[in-house]
Amino acid sequence: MEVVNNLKNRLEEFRKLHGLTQEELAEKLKVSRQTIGSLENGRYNPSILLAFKIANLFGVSIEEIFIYEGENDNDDEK
Amino acid sequence: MMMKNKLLNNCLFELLGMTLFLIGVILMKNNAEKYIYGLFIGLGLGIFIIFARKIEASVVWKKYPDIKQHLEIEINDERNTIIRDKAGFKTNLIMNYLLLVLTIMFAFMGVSVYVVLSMVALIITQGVLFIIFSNQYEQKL
Repeated sequence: MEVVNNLKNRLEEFRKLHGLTQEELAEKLKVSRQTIGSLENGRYNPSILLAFKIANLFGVSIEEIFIYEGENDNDDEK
Repeated sequence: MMMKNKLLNNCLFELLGMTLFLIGVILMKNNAEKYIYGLFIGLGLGIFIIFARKIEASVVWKKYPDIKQHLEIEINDERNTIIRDKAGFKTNLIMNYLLLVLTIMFAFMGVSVYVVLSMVALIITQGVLFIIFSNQYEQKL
């Protein structure tokens, strides 16, 4: 039984709001473009450090970008 | 300054590799024991290749600093690090089973006892290293 943490984010929205491409955002955060893509798709949850970096870059709090929606068991979804 | 020191260091190791290789060749020509000249040639070539790559990388990075930066980002990227760790963990798990199966197979096939014991030693070393690193990270994290 695997516990899945539901963490949604508004990264794509904030990125587009600031007129940045994935490459540009990746360059500013010093991560790969694939990481930005995975974050936007919700496949990957960032470390707390990266979350802070992203929030600082956009000048907002972490909670405004990352929304924690609790956890659920993977088996229950089947 | 540090970069120059590193390059000088790499060049010195490159010379060492070449010297060891040449000693190996001279020993081979003088009919020395096979394992002695083999050791010199192998070690020399190994050192030579490793440090040739380092020198090549430092020359390329000096010429194209953006490539170096891109490479550093790719290596230090947290997602890539997690991918590497997970892939490494699964590979290690599979290799453990394969090593164990191979050791048992070799034991039943009647392969030299030294070979089987060496493989058992490898398995034990793996376990000991796991305990050491686990303790180390337990204190660190």
